[in-house]
Amino acid sequence: MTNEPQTILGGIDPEIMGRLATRREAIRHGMSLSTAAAAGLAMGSIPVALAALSREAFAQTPNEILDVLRFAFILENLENEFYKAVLGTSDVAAQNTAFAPVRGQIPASARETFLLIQKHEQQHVNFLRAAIQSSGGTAVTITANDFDFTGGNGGTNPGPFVRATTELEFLLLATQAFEDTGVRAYKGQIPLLLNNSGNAAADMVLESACRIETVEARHASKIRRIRRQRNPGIVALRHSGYVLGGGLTAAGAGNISNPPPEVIAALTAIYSGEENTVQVVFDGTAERSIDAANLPNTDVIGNADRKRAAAQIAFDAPLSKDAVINIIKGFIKDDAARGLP
Amino acid sequence: MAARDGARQDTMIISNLGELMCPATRRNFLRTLLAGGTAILLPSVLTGCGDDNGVEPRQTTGLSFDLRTDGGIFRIVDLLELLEAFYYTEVVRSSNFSVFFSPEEQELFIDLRDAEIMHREFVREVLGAMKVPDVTMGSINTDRLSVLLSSRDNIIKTARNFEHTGVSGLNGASKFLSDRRNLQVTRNFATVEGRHAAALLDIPLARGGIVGNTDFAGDLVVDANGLDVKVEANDARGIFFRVASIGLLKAGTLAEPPVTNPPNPDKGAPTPSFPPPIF
Repeated sequence: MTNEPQTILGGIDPEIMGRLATRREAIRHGMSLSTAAAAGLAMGSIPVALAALSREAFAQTPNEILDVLRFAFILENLENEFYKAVLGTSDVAAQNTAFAPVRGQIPASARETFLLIQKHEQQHVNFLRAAIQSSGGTAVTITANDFDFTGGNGGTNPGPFVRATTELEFLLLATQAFEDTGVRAYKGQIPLLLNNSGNAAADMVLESACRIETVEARHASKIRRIRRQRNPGIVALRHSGYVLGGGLTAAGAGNISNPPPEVIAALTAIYSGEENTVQVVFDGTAERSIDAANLPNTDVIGNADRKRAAAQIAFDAPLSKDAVINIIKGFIKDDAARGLP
Repeated sequence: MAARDGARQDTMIISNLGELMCPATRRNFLRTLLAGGTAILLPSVLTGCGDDNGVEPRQTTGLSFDLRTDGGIFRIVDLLELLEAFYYTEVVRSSNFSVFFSPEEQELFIDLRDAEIMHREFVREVLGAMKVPDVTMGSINTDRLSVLLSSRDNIIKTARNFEHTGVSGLNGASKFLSDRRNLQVTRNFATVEGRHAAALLDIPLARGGIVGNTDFAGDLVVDANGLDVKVEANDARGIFFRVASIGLLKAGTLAEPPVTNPPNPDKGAPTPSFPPPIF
């Protein structure tokens, strides 16, 4: 990877550019767009809009936005390389070998799901790399060698998540934990991307981060549903894909025998705060804190306990960057020079 | 209605707040006040709306949206949550609920109902006086509601349409909000809607049928950059198009066009959309 800032247009598939030009022509000539064509335009135009994200274009704080993008880039690489190792498509043979025992246990249906999720994570990696470069930043080169999916920080001994390489239920739990962490990480960062500067490219970054976030929520929902179908008795795993409650119980890890204390600690941290029912808004004059567990007109839900549970599932919760880094740093081999925690 | 009609309306008697929801009364009320006249609010004015006498609650008409403030954007969320919570409540209490759906699917819909009720009450608490009129009182197209409750297939498709309206609308609205706390809150429920949307795509239209292992986030709803659906309120296939497609509201409930003022340009500009299908 080059260290020189490069325009995103240089990296765009010529076919997309061609299609974009065709769409432009179509619009100029007043043609109406089919759904598929409109979708094509949306696809092509995001990189184009991002290309406007040059350093000069920023009047405000580019570093804050770049920091968010770089952080998200590390997270998406972690997820992407994890799924590639699980699926046996990693560029690093040792990663594929490590997951071989569990790979044979993955049902064909779940494998199809994993393949789609991995495709999305790769798209997110590509998208974020382009966004960082268009913003005048440098996207560091990250490979599967940078990760230790046992959570052992690259040490000699395997980390506490090593059972994900040999036990299907453990693997599915780890997958859910990655996805829910991803949702919470984006949720913590997205407000930092808000700008009211009228900068269209910065808006595109914000909107794209929101659109990645809901894709991660879809992934988390599906993995939770798969786990619930395999473990009907774990009611913390909802068929609705929600996170019910917070802390360890929200992980729904009751099917894992003798989980290592480090895993319990990690799961507790990943779902810490999900039980929160108090939401904060700004009404234009003052900040208000509203406890959703005490709202009126909710009797159809049931008693106070059911209302509290509903108030918990109805709102996902953010995690700060520091909290996320504490959760994931065991999976990443330290390299401060490249910004890897 | 107790408004006294006449060439010069110097006194107007209003016995019920609901009367002010009627455009003709409201016009007279304003005319009376502007003309220096007096409006008398009877004590009964605070006791409720026009459904006291067993009369059908009055239909909301001409509901419009000014998107220049966070509150204005939240009002669209309010409208959607009102409709969603109402619809899922009807689904869960309908006599065929346990016929159409397996116990696992019933759990899904009850969770859905509960979360949307929470969203509705939360948004209405946030908006206070700015909240939209309760369109589920008097503005529901009951014939259409019957159709949308009449089969498993219709219920699942309607739910998919609602949840994808929520996800795509919230994703598109993010850039127009002005306060980070308000953006945070919308994201806190946007991903919950995303979880719903995926779960609803993950159950088969026919009971006991099969569903694709990738349908929960397939190419219809995630684009080639790995980005989820997104619309603008006023897109040809945007929020109001989708609300109209679902068709739960009586004709005339919303103003035409429903958006009186788009977001201020200094907040941002519309971006190309990736609209979800109508399921």
